Amino acid sequence: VTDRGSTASGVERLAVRVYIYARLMNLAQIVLALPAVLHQSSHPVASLGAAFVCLITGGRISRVASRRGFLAADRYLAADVLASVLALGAGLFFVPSAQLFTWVNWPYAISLLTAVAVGVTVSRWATGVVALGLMAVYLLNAARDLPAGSAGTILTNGLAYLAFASIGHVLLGHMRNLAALADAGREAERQLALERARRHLHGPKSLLELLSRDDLDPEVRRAVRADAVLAAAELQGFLSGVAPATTELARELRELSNLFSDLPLVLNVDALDADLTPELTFAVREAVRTALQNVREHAEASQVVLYAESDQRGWEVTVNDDGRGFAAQPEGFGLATLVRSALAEFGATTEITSEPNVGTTVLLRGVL
Amino acid sequence: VTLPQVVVIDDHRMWREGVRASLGGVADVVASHNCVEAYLAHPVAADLVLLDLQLDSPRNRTPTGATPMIGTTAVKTMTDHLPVLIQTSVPGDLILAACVAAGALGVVGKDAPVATLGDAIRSVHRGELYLDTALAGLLSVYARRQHAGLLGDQQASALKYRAQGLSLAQIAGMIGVEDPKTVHKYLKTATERLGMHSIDEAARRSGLASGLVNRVDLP
Repeated sequence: VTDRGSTASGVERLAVRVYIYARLMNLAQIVLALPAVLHQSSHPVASLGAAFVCLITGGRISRVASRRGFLAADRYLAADVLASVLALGAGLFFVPSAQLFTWVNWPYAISLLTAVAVGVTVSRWATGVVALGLMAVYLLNAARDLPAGSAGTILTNGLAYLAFASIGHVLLGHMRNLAALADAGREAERQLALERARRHLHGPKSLLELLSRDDLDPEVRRAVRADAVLAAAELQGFLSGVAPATTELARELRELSNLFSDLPLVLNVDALDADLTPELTFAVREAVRTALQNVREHAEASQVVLYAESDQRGWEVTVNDDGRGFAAQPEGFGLATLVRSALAEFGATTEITSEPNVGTTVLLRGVL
Repeated sequence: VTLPQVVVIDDHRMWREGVRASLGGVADVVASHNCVEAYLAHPVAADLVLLDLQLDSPRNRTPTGATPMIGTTAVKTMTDHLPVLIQTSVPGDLILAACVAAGALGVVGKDAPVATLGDAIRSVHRGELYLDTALAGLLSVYARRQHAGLLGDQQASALKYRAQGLSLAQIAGMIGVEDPKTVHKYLKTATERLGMHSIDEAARRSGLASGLVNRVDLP
């Protein structure tokens, strides 16, 4: 997880934060319990040493994980596990077993958190093995001259290692999945917005390119300038989030063709008699505009035909020119990528066929 | 390479001069006249005639001072002498289908680029129908709306693809026939059929002067 703004990295940082807070509680417990432990332990130095080691390993993990943003199955975690084993040995074995049932029993809390930390970082099976190991160490150390009737309590405490490690594993696994979904959704949304922006900017880009040419034919320049006025208005609409609201595609195409008076354009759209949704109408019109802009810029055509028809089942629109054509679609051909994806959003298809020196046909098609 | 020899018949002098000037390298204009009657008075051999549909502008007169023949009558009369390519300012009009039925081998709009006129001249010179894209579009819609079933599937498809601007060779590929001449046949039959079935409709719909379409000129 590298993107610090993602939900996934947020989940990991949450896990780190919980780890650090819990370790701070461990620290508080150790400080409070230490006088009693030192007083009762048969080996005070060993008990003190074990506590010290646990604080060191916990501190190192906290520092490393908070810097990089996630808990990992690395040497720091391995050291943490070993420190917990050491604490269970030295901390439990050297104190009277009666202490196991009081708050002085700090190694238990320390090693339980270690089991959780392992649970959120390694696989299911590794989690089980480590949790069972810690449980075994705990039981071995705790099961000495127990007070009568306390076996059940000790066993339950032991099983808590498995339970806590599993809960940590499952809970964080679910949170990671949800985070991945959230991130994927956000990324898709971002791509879509980018795509829309590209689509809206492609037309103005072509216009700007044309207008910046010194050798532009005056007739083309006039048509392009008329187009630029409309493009500016539409860009304004896009920027302020106003959706176009028209469903009469044939009329839209007729109006659009007026902007290409510099092209030898024949308009055959009388066979189109379908009302599409405003969004689809807009997408088709923009697709046709892009196609016509491509003709204007690249084709050098002597005839361009805009044709449209519909029946009960579906509609189709074609832009055909007898210009230069192309053998393979050049990279960055705005038409192919932008038009195709824009129409695919509505289940409409785009086919582009071209042959050098014969011409290009763009076919847009959808069902009703 | 010898260029097609063309006779131009149009009632506007500047148009005749303009066509002659702009067809350099595409065709040789061997004669030009203001009406069919003027050509008939001095017929010359040529490969085709570029014929205007409306020759009845107010002051246009035949050599004998009469009103010139127009429309399908002009087409039928000229067809007996030369292959006819109609050049018209109303390319999207049903009248033109009737003209094809009367024997014209091509229709091209006066608003078309010179390159298109060149294509049309070469097509007609080869003996192929040249159907203006706008007219094909009109006929395609007309066939669907008013005359469902009048055209065969292949004819209807050929007309539709012509309306999209495809060439005969491209249409052949689209409808799966080997020879572009077959497409030519489909288009010709379809246009003639629609032309014959649309005479009344053409007369009613057209905003043009009456008398352009005459039933007796059609087969």
